[in-house]
Amino acid sequence: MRKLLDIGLKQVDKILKEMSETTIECLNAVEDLWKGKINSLEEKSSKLRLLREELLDIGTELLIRYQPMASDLRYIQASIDVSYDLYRISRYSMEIERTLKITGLDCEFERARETLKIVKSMVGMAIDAFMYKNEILVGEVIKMDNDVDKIYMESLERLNQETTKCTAVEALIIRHLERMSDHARNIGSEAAYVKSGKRI
Amino acid sequence: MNAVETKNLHVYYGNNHVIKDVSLEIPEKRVFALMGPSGCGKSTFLRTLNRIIELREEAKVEGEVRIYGKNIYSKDVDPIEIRKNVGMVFQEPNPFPHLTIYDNVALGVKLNKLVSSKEELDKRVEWALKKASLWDEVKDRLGDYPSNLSGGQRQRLVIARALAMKPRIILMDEPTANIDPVGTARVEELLFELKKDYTIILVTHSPHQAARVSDYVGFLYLGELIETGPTKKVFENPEHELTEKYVTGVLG
Repeated sequence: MRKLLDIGLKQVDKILKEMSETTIECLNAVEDLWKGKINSLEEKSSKLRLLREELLDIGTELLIRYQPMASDLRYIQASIDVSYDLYRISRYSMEIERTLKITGLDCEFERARETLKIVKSMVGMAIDAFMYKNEILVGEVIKMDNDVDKIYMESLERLNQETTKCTAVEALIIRHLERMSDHARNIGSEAAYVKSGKRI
Repeated sequence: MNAVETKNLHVYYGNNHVIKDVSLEIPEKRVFALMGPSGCGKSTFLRTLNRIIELREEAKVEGEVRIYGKNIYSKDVDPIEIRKNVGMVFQEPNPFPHLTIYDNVALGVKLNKLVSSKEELDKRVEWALKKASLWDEVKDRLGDYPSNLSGGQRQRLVIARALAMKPRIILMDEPTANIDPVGTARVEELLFELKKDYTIILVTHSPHQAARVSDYVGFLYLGELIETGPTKKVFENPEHELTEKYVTGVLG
């Protein structure tokens, strides 16, 4: 019985890895947007949706067939949640792309670019934290999420001072990045849950 | 309030140390499942709780077992009285084959003179069969013999027999091990009903059954109590590595 469950868990692992790689590709594609290069983020996000559905199917089947417990149960629960977080990050990437396409603005978006760098690093760390059950990385991710929250608040406050189209759109982009950062934090929390059984 | 408490309980069969220093508290009106691999001492532990362990000559018990605060191994305690309060259901559905369904339930009540008239006995039998969720299936054939019942029905008949004595605690030693999935589901559903009025202590080698039916669970391994706690906690996030290995199927 144990062996059959392990086969399923490996499948979950494989899908999560593929989802993680695609999510990082999405973030790279957002970075390319500043260089004027429009990518097929919608396609990538659709791929993530399909992978998430596949993972959900396998996870449900494993729960039904083997009624896993303890760390196995926590891993399946957490993987399902993480797959949702990764998918959402891709959706927010797509939203940024759409925002830039529609507004067609030629602004610097310096703060957004800096925030994206932080978010990219956070997502990578959160994924590593989950894959390798590394609680130290979780702590880092949480700290960085607090920084991103602060940046977002500042971008809103800036709207009181100067309401140009650029500042408004930048605030909107940072808002999407802040949501990504929250999802990265969730992934970190799931890593801690799998490792210790405790919810952060 | 705790229905059962054991303190530093040890059991020996001759030189074989079977239960090792088990201290445990079982709250009343809950299902407590004791799980562990075959041969870990689960059934032996259960048999200490109503002193039927003493039917084995070579068995020696040390430590305390308290039922509602009273140490049942005190010299002034009559084991027969204990067994009236602590009923037991075994792995093999074992109704008396030569007695009718009615008489199987009525026998213990009659022998212990728990009722004073035939009407009272009839009422007790009906009550016990209803409590065991068997009445609707047998009310028109109380004169039949248990051989006409399915395995699951026979096990519920045995539960009715135990309930008829109006115990406060029911011990169940792998009660579904020899019945089919439908019968198993009926017995498990019954546990949910019974725990409103009784404390149930169930021994099972199946972690999944323990997870389904119990409020609290204990894990016994090689005669030692490794871990005990609320069922959700133990199955989601066990404290001890051995428990983790047992419930994930790695142990052994």
